[in-house]
Amino acid sequence: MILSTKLLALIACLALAVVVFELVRKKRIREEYSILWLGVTVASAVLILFDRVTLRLIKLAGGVNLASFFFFGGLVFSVVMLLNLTVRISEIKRKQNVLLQEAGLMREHIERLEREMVQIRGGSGKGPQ
Amino acid sequence: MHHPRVLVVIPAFNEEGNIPHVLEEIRSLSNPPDAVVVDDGSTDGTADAARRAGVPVISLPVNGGMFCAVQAGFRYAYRHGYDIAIQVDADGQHDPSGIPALIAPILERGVDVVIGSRYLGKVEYKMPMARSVGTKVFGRLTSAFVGQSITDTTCGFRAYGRAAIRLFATETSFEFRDAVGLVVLHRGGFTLCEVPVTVHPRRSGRSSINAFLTIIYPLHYLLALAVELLRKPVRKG
Repeated sequence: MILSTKLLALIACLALAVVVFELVRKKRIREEYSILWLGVTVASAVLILFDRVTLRLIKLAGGVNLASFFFFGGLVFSVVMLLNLTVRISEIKRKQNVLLQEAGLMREHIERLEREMVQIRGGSGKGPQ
Repeated sequence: MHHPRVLVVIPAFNEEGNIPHVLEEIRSLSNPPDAVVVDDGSTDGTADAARRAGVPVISLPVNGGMFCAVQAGFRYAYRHGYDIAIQVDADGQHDPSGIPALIAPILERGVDVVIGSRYLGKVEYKMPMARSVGTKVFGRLTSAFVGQSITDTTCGFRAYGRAAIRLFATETSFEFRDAVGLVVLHRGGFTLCEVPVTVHPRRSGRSSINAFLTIIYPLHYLLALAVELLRKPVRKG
């Protein structure tokens, strides 16, 4: 890998790490979900820094070059991340259903109690207050 | 079963124009059951129209979808100790005069779930061909899996006994919808039967079923069926 490409790739990793860190700081991402992103950023930076060792490992595994390895890695990471998010969205939808139902049931219960209170007050001659 | 407590669950989304008629028809039955309207985050006056008619309303803060609304009604039925819960659509298509026939198999033979069938009864409107063909194909497929003839797997006009109410009210990990819901019930040891029902055209408003859903539905059905067959069956009781 030529030096300028290496520098560009390292800057991209650093930029991603800064963006993720900033999103965590602003509480837009929870720490637990940022670990995977930061982990991938650090791993990518290490692989780029030691590109000769990385290339040797890629060739041992039957790979061709660094570019195809990073494309493949990026694709795998995207699929894993999407699957992970789909699982989380499904779980959130399940919890949302329960909360919606319970909110609706509680409101109905409160309305019922309010009607009963009005009736009791009306029956005792005090009238609703 | 002596003096069974029967509840009609009416999920409603933007049905302000239809809900008063549906409640009026239920009230006009010779032995009217209790009713609860589940307002699924409507943006019109559905909830107020139902309250004015004097029935309890479960108002969901935002739209949660059909199953979410129906399940809220079943939770209500379960917590208030109802013996039978009947799902009736809020668009006025399900004829409440069919309720006695719908609950009869539960009372007389202890059946767990009674399905209203438009194909054994009467459909007073023209169903789109794609939907009609799809329903019949799903009927055949579902019949093969439940070991008995089911002619109408998508009609929501159904009655559920106590065990089914409990299952629907407490199980949150998956949705008991339409045809796959029947397979889930059968595998769990619940007994099913069909009775003829009459279905009217909508009084007002438009159906939420569009062309996209008509295409997606068969794929969803096949996937849900395949997944269900690989799951451990739910247990009755």
